[in-house]
Amino acid sequence: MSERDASKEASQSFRVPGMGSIDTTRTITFTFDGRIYEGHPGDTLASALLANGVRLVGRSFKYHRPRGILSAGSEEPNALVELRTGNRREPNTKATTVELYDGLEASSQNRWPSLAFDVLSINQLAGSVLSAGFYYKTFMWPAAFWEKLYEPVIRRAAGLGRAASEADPDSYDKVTAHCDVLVIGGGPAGLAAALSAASAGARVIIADENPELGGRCLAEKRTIDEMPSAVWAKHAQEKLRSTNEVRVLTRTTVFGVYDGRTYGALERVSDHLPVPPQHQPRQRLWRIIAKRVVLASGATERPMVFGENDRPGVMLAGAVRTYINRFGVVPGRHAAVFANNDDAITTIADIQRAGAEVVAYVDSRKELSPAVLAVLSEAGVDAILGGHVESTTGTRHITGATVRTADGEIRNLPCDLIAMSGGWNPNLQLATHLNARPHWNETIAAFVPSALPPGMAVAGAANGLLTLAEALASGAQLGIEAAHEAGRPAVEARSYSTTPEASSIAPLWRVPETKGKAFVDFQHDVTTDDVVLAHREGFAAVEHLKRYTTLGMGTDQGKTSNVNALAIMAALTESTIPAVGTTTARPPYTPVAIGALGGAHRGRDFKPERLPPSYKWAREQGAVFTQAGLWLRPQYFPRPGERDWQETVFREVDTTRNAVGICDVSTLGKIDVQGRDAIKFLESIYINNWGSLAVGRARYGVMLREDGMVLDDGTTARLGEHHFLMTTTTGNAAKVLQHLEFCRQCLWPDLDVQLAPVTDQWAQFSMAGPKSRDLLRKIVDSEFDISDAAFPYMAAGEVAICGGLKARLFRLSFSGERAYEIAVPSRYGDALIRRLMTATEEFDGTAYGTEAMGVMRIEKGHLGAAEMNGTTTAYDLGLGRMMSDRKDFIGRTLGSRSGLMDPDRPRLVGLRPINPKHKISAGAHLLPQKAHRTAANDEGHVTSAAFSPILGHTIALGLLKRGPERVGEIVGVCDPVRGRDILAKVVSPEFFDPSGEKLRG
Amino acid sequence: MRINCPCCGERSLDEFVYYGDADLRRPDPQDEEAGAKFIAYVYERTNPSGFHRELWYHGLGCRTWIVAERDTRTHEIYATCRAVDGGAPEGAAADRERS
Amino acid sequence: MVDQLITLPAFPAPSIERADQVRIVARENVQIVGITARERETESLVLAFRAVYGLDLPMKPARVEKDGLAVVWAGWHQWLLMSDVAAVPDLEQIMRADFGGYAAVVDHSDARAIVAVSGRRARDLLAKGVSIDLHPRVFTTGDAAATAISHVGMHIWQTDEKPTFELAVPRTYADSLWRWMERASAEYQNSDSLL
Repeated sequence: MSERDASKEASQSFRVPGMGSIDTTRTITFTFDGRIYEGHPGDTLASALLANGVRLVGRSFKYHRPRGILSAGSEEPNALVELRTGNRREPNTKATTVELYDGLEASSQNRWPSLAFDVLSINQLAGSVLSAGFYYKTFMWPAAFWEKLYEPVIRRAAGLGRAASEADPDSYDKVTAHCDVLVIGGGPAGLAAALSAASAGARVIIADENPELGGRCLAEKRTIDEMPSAVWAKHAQEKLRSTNEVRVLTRTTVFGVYDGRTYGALERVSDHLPVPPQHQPRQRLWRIIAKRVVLASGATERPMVFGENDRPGVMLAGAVRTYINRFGVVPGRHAAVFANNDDAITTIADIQRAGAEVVAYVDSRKELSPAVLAVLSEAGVDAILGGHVESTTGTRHITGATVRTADGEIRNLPCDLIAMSGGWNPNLQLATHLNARPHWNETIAAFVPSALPPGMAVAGAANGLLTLAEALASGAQLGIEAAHEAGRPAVEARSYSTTPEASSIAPLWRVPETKGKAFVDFQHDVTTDDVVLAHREGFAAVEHLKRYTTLGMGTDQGKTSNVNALAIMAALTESTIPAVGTTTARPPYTPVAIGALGGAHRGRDFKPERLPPSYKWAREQGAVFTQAGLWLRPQYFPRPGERDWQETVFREVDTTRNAVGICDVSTLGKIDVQGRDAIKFLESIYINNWGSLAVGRARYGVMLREDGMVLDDGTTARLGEHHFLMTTTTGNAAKVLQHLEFCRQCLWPDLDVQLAPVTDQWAQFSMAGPKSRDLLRKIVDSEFDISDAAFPYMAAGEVAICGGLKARLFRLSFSGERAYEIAVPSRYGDALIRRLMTATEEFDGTAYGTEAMGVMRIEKGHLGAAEMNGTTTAYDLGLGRMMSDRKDFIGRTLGSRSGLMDPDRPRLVGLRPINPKHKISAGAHLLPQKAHRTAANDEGHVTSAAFSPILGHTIALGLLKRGPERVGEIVGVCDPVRGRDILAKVVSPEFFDPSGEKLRG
Repeated sequence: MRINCPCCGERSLDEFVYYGDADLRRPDPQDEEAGAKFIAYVYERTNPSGFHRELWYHGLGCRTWIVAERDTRTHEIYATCRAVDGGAPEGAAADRERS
Repeated sequence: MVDQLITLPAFPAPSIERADQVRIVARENVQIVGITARERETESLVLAFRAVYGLDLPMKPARVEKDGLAVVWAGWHQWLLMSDVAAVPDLEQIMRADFGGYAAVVDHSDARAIVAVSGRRARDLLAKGVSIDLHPRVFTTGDAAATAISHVGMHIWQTDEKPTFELAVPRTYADSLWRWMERASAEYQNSDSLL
């Protein structure tokens, strides 16, 4: 049949009427590789495919071998499909966990041109070169081949599925939850634990990855308290859902354990629906803080390792029972069961009840208990004890099993299903996320948790208690204990009655003689031969084995393969399994999409946005905004007819220098500093002196880190005897506050100093330019004298504006012009900027943004973040003379150490291109004029550059070795990134009004 | 990880900023060997495996500097207190004498 | 007092209503004054405050209220005092006059924006952005905390059992947080919300 044949298949011929617990009264349709099939609500994609007789669902990673469905849960290594289409397309979803919905579209991946005929399956003929470590051996050289040849070919050939190429249209959510008891897993142990904890009145969260609680209660034909186990589970779930303080999270995987009793869980809120309902997220990330945890995550069945064990039709025995008992689907008509333990025996009855034939029961053990023998005899099955399945036959699906009996006889059993069981591994990953090593339990031949994360207890199969009775009893008891330890009253654990079951095992890690490839890790195509090769080549340690063979590194994280592999390695090294040990399980337990981790924080909401008080007005003006930390600041204010940003910025600078410009400077950090020791405090954190600062005056200050590097700069005004207002740069506000709190609390706790961040309190606008005082006069109430005599440069004080509104006025300048900053409570900021802009019309003034501000500050040689970059000292930046020698201050000692006083250090200079048409860009390197353009000759770099409309050419600030001594020298400015190499003259960093006449007016 | 702020109670790690060794004492700048002592104060760390007294800042909370006694291997926090109360006992005492 | 300049509300809308599940109301026109005890003056401040207002400044995260004046613990020996603009014309001045000797008094009326979140799903909504436990067994009327919402530092307290929580958030984040609350509460328009 071709892929284009979209006719409906003969419907669900493997569905068994009357079996399973899903709703078969409703039929829904879905497509797989373009063909339409039918299923029922409650199906997984895997159960629906099996119901329709579809066994070939994918191609393997390396050899492109045909693969079917191995499991019925999240451990699935084989049945990975692309789900949905377009911008919701999702690769590598497990058919065994995808819930069927009407209209579901899935396609197989890793095949070309079609699933049935895959060209690259030829890889398996070349198996010898694709063996373990082949990446390391084959693609070593020539190095150039890697990028051009190997990688593209490997990427096309291997790789699993394709991600959507457009943005995900769905939303994701994050929630924090607190509880007394978190129960992880909703199987019999988890249900019993949650019921216990709930009966003690605890705040309980029970999470399970399936759509319903129940776990193996739904998959097995068992009895609890005289009820079918599935019915009991249903009652238990209803009871929990109706109990106060119990939260039932289905479709939720607890994927990680973190320090501080914190657990990560992913709830698939809408994954079972075609599209999330309105206002609902696709997935929700839970951060759960739990006083106590009962881990009841169950166990995962191990495959048997024999030849051609990866062929579709070879399935875990427990999965076969799940498909029969939960979904009413029998995965084959003629089944062989191959096991090494008692648990698999129940598979026989389930298969027979589903109307299929069990052609043989093969058990690697020679001797079985009388009870088990009785079951076999009652079933009337051909039991081959002490035998092995050595290989399978078939192409895209098995047609038979080759069995060697205990006597060495070879028998070919025709069958279309092999149900295998190598025993069960407790799902102990979460118990080891904080680095605990598990303990080997000989009785069940598996690792069990040993040391546990604080507050965790492990119940049921996850703790190696593999029978139903043990699961219920341990869950009930641990639930009570957990609730009590979390502070709830002690209550009695109730008991549950179940039917007895056998559970002994004699491990068989690999069938001794096999034909064909015997797979250990299905997802990454790792065979027994690869493990043998790794051993032979010296990669015997588990961590080496993992990396050399890629075993356990697939999206399934080796849930079905790890223990088999290390047991095989133990045999090869003639060691024991506990001596070989295991690799470390790390979060997440199952894959978590990045979208879920990001939650609502994406796009515009990636980070919270801070809006300056004039934001609304600026947006109305059509301002272009830029991000400054979290702030959105106007970058420039384009006017109609202006060709580009540069023309706008020139106009803004020009207007400010010749008339008046207005800029929102509310983003500067503001910290209110009070206290009797405030002066002392400022003296200790700033390099310069503060004692002489009069009330009503402001001063520029520079603070260092203790290592002597410049931390920040800004002006601080003295508002009262013991009251100061400090300003920081926009980007450093939080960092400076933290630093000041450190100094106050950790260094000088006895000082009487109170700090309060007040950045948000004030809307502050700078008015700069020769007309700024005239503009100011228009809004400051007439009783306040703002003449140069009354309010000189660096004055600070309270005024009233616009008829009585209290405001703070500062005469500060970043632009080098006469300038004022007026501050009003933020709620008035919007009205004030409008008032100022109206008033400014008379002077042909302008608003200006960060771009023009940057130009003007470079013209003045003022420092920005590019100069105060964490590696520059006060000396480097020409501020050495500010450093007081009459006091101690943070950074003084180390800032003066000889290495930092070395005149060879790069220090601040101005740069002017020799050819005025040449452009200097930030980041360019400075070198001696004629030196080779090599790193060895590097003498510094350009930190900031801008085109100065006043001067008519580019100007720049840079850090140049021995810079200030070299004023007048011509240096090379080399910018290999932009392909520029020009000459510039070293000049003083003050390009504009160096004497400060304009400033003082 | 969760840290018990002495003012606010137990809070998640993302409310805090880590700073480092709580027992470092800012040297006396008048000391003859102030240079070497400041180098040690700023740069030299023992980086212990196990018990560590360290400073944390409850930045997204009450802005208190906290001393936490933590096991660096398990991240278990044994005790916390305000730095003012017992954070840098020697440093605080020295500074008191100086002032 | 100042009629020439009009004020701009901190939040872009007066409220968000989500059926009978959650109600989010912007509380404009609250005066907020921060006081921080001066070194070694806490005791005097507490006594003076009790004498004038009959209220004990809480020494742990809590909120107390009397005669329209609310006090919220805001850090070690720090409090936020709140009253409606209409009730007291200039809270900062009064506080400075009464307690300036014992405490640093700073006006925060425009630094913080207050929003009230109430209704039966209020806790569920806040759990999406606040990581502290607001369960009634742990946090109840009169309790307060300094923490963060959606990565923004804030103060939160509970005022009644509806329950109603009030959040004082930095004003410049108000717009961004409002957008967050609109989106986070959107699902409560559906009565069969899955959370």
